[in-house]
Amino acid sequence: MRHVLIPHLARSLRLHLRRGPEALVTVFFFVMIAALFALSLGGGQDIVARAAPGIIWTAAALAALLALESLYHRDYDDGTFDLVLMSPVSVFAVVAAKMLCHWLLTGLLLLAALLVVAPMLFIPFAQLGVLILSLFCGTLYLSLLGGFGACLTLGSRKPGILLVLLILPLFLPMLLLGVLAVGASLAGMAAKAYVLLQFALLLPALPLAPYAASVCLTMNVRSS
Amino acid sequence: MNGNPDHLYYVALAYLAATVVIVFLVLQSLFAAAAVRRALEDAEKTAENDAGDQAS
Amino acid sequence: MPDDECEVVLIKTFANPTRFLALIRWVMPTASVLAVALLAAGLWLAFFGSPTDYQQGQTVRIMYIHVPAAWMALFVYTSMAAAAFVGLVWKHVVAELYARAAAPLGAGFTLICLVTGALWGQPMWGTWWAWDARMTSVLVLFFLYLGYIALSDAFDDPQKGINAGAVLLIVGVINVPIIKFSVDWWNTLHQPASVTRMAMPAVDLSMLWPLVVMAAAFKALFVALACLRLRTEIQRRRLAVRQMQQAEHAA
Repeated sequence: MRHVLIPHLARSLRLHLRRGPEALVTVFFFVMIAALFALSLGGGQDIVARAAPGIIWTAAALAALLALESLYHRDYDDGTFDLVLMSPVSVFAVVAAKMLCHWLLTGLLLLAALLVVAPMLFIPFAQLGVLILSLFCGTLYLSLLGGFGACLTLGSRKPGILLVLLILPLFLPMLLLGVLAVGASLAGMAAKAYVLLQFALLLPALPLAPYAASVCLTMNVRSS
Repeated sequence: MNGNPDHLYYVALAYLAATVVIVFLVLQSLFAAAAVRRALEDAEKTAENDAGDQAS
Repeated sequence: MPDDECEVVLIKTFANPTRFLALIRWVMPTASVLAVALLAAGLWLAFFGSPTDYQQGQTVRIMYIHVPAAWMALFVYTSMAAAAFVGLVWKHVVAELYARAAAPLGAGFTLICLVTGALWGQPMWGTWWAWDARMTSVLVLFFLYLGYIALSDAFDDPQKGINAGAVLLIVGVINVPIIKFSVDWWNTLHQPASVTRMAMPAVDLSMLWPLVVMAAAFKALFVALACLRLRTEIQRRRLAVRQMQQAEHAA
């Protein structure tokens, strides 16, 4: 599987980075949403700092979900997935590569953007470590879940909004745990338990999400 | 709190809401069933007519 | 071993839509009559056959719809996921249609639970809504229902809708306990103690009867309506086949 995953990952990355600025749109969206929340809450340090965990997680979730359409639905529309199914390539590997590509283009960049967003939301740099670890887990989980949702909605009407509606309830546990983790760390308490629980959610998703997504892909791309 | 008349208002609203939802579901189910049954009968009738035309 | 074989035979028997329709022919009227009778009995018990709670007064009567509705919401979702699994894995023709038939009913019960919950909360705790573990979980369940209905309707090819919906249900049902657990945890840590005390009154025997009868009434009502809707789905599929045959004939 490895000799399928790496080339596919490389290919996906190359294709998307060729479009250059498009990857940065996700980051821009994340920063923009965080700023919007802070501003609409009045900008005062007390309120914004209290709301910071929720703001970051919500903004990250929305930004990551935004990027899914260009990765999956576009490949469905231009027939790439048909070619994948017709070739002897393992669909599991292709989907896993796509999910990893999505994370590299959104999650990873979002983690970097935290350096900008943290001071905006009055999060002290000392707490940044827990925030990054928690969001690493959460964004990876979202890439996995989002990839599954994207494959589930391939070929449907209005796949973009449907995808968001379906994935957000399923993402809720990770989001709640993440907010608890960041909130605990900001309050000076130990966040280890929450972060461990986050990883406990993430680990089974690592093999299961690509499997479920490959099942959906095969179902939806096969012309009826 | 016991026997507060305002509370009966809420109780009535709750039962009313439940009734509305249930009645809606029942009516919608019945109408959908009738529509599909009628369409199926029409389709079978046209099939018979086609068969009759072909035979003659 | 004989138990497994019995179940498999049962499932296989009703894979034939015609035989299943024959089953519906006597189950549906029976369930309908039972539903009406139980609803009448339940309503009488709820209003005249049970006392008021010394803490909650008359509003405790809302519990007699709120709790059974919550039970139904969860039960229906689980049954949809089970049927979807059977339909997907064994290509069971009737099972795969069950989820489409039952989804609006489950969503209706969830809606009843949410609305009656709000109408119970306002006089009791002064708030129409609270993000406590129970109400949040029910709200998420409502979103899961709506998500299923939206997904299964979103495809031009109905079979794709059924299959995608089945996968969504299976993934969703695994997530329901995870969601419940995480919301529970989050709630105890985040909410002030007064809100988490949105507990139900201690149910004593006189209150148990209306609760149980209403629960049975809802079950019977669901069975009757689910039979009706499942029959409609089967007939809808036959209609589609018939229309395709006619299109072929015309061509």
